[in-house]
Amino acid sequence: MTTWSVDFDVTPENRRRVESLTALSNGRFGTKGLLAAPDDIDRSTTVASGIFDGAPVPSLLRGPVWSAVDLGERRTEQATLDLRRGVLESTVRCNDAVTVRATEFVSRRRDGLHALMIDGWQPQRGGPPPLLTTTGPGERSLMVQSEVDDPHSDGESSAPANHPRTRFSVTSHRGAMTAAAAEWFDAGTTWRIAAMAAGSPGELDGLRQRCEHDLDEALAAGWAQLLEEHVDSWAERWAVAAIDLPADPDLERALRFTQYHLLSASDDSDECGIAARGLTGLAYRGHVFWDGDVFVVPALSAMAPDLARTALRYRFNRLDTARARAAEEGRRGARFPWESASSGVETTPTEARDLQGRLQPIRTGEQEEHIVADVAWALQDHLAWTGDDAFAEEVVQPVLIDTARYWDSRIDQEGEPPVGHIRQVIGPDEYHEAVDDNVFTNEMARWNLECAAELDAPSVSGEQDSWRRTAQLLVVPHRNDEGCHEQFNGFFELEPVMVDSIGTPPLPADALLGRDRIEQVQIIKQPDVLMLHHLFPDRMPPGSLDADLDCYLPRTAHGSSLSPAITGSLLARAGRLDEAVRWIEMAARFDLDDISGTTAGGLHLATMGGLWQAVTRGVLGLRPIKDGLLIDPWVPPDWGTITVRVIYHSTPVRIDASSDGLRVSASDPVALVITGIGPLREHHIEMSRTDAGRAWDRAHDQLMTGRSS
Amino acid sequence: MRRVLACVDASPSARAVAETAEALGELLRAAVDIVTVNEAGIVPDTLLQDRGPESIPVRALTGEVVPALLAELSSDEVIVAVVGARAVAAKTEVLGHIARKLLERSAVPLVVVPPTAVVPSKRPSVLVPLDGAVATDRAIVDMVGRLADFGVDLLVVHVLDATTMPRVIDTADDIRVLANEFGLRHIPTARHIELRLGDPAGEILDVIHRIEAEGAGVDAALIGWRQDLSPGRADVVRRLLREAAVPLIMVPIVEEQGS
Repeated sequence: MTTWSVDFDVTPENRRRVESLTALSNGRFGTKGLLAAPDDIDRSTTVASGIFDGAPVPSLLRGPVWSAVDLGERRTEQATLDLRRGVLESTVRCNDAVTVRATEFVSRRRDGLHALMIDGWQPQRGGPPPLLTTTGPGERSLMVQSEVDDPHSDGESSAPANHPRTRFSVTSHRGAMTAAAAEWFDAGTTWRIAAMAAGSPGELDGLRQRCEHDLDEALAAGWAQLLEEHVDSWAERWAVAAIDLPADPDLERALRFTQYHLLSASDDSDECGIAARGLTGLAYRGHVFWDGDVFVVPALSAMAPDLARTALRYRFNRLDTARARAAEEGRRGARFPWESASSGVETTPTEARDLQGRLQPIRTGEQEEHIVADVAWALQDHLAWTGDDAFAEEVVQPVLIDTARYWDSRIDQEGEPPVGHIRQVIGPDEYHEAVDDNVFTNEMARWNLECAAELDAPSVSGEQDSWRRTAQLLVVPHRNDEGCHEQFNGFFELEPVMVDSIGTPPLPADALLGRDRIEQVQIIKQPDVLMLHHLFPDRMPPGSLDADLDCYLPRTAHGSSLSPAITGSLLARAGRLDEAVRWIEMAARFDLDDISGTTAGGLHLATMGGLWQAVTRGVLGLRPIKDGLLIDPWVPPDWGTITVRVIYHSTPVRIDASSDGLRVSASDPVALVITGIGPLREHHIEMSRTDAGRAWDRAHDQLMTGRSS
Repeated sequence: MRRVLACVDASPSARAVAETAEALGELLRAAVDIVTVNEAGIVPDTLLQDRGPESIPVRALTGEVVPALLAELSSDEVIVAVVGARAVAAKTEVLGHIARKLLERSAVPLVVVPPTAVVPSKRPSVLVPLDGAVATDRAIVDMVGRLADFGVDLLVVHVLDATTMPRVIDTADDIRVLANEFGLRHIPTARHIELRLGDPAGEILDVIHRIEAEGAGVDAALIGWRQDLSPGRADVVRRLLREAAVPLIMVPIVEEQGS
């Protein structure tokens, strides 16, 4: 069985989950997978990145349902997501023993193009295909079904004649989406092509014209060409990004499934804010969190830097809004929102009902400020992978400067000599609110200041000394006698309740214990201190990883989808490979096994990005550093050889690593730094075409030169 | 002809039972048949005496109460029956003996009206506690469908336990997603779905009280049950009968062979 596809038996019980798992997206538009039944319109709408409805708390605007097919009763249904080609194939056995086979995809070559081919089914009504929708608050929705509409009326179009078209548009005060679709039946096969466009409400006429034009071109190209160019696009992506793990086919398949959805989450347009669930569902309303910056974008920076760039531009394009917020709050610089939608203002809801029916305040929008440094970190990480100086000057530098300004004004300097503090924040561990000196927030802020202080930027040279000084003044993290960092001021004074006293993680400890109780105990939601080891391993005190793992893992409920992958990554770094593999496998199965129970609402992209990082940063120790691409593998013996492909400074690099060997191949010379901290007893390292590269084997303290293979 | 059967006696609960039946009949586009049973086969003068001349007349049946009513309930025309929970509000038993016997033996959904019930409003809302079991869904699907068709607001409550609660809750929106998912899986027409964690009966009652406190009110509750009131069983039914001042539409769950 190939590990390039994932098969599903669709049942009424799992259908909604499978729709998310098989979601088709090109980063611009996303749609649930599977052929929608006519009564599925409420959940099978297409959504577009960055296009929101008019609700007070905005949610992605519901666009057209383009894949609704009335098959009557469906006796059995199987679906196969072909990861390599980016195509979903379904087989449906209908009530009258008819078997229908469908192939659908959302083109990676043509921005808004959706294509569907169905063998064994003929439209009942004839005429234009239905483009159905539901409407929400603050929207005007217009659906028009047209009769045969001659696209040649102006004499200029070359599209096939006599394909009746349906047109659709929906607008809110925040965005607009349009679609034009054609459907035809021939010799037992039905084809349906839909072209979509999205933008601001004022662009509606232009969007409609674009749809007509795009549909004309697609119809002229024909199904075979549309499919071929789409498949070719995916082949190009996989050639430089695919992970191979032949010794563990299930994990290999899960890793490729993860990569497929990560690569589907962004496109190469002007900007693309990557929502926590991507375009695979409406959970979290399509809002952007640090999930994108810290978990997804780093994976894209290495696999598909053009897609990462688009995601990072989303933040850069909202820098003015972030500046305005900082100013409103009496700060300098820029403060990015915890939850972000179209405009970049804070969109975190302020309250919600808990599982006891009580309205509880939500304070993350007000207090979870580490997002400011998370955005800066993602940009800097992208630079480290790409070496893109132009992007650095245009995008990275302004954000680094304004985020440093923010921290410089945010940090309270108290006492004499002054010591800096950041008070009343929420760290990644959201069980504890309004804490002082959360070590993650503090160290991210310190790094942010120091990084900006080193910029070659004459315009801010007068401020850089202040940033350095503020970074130095920031309170030094407290460590206990075991060398464990105190998560925030007073954490070790809380009641030392461990997670295993209330259950086996992952578990939602705050729901089980209640809000008041959870704040009194040392149980935390997810890695907080440990995140620093993941993001800044070189800045952490030597030997502190083991101390912090021993301290915090027994206290971690893992009640967050972000937790398993990072935990696995750090356990791998610490050489605890069996434990690492367990957590990595949990992350790999997170949506496939619906561990959270919410996969039907959309996939957890941060889990996926974290999983990619667990395999690369964690197991392979692979990350860009000042001297080059660092590789420090600690591969579980059972994994045999794992192959990881990344792009480093525009050069595709392939790493084949096992517990006793390492091979690095690159199409052009790259600087490598290979360390022997892992259990490699003998270094069998081959470099291909790196004659000009340098590999430094620290374990043997000798400079290795590349040998052509 | 479809009928709503109201089973009344000379107790003070008769009015509430009759009015509930009439409201249901209007809602479900069904005729209403009000019956009383006694040995003489006559309608006592005091029964529903203050109802106007346009009111639905009461029909008298002869014989023993429970067998006579069960015989009426066996008619294909009867889609739902309404009975009073007990004669006097102060009694400690949650159900009078007649209501109990009817509940245990009827194959037709029964609406149990507590003595303090308020008759449903023009656009009633019905609370539907669901345990998530397939058998429950099957049992209530017809009644739910009818109520939804006629514009009744359905409010679903599902109480999670240690085995069903999510292992991961990233944000409060996960609760909304889970609730939405539960509703779509079990009652897609539900207007509102609420998830709770804790003691099922306590949480369901809390939802009812909270909605009442918000001024909206719940007009009835619809619950599937296994017609077993033996000790240790039907805790939710007992608590609702005792503490919820709303009619309970109780639908028998019939387990399929081999389930």
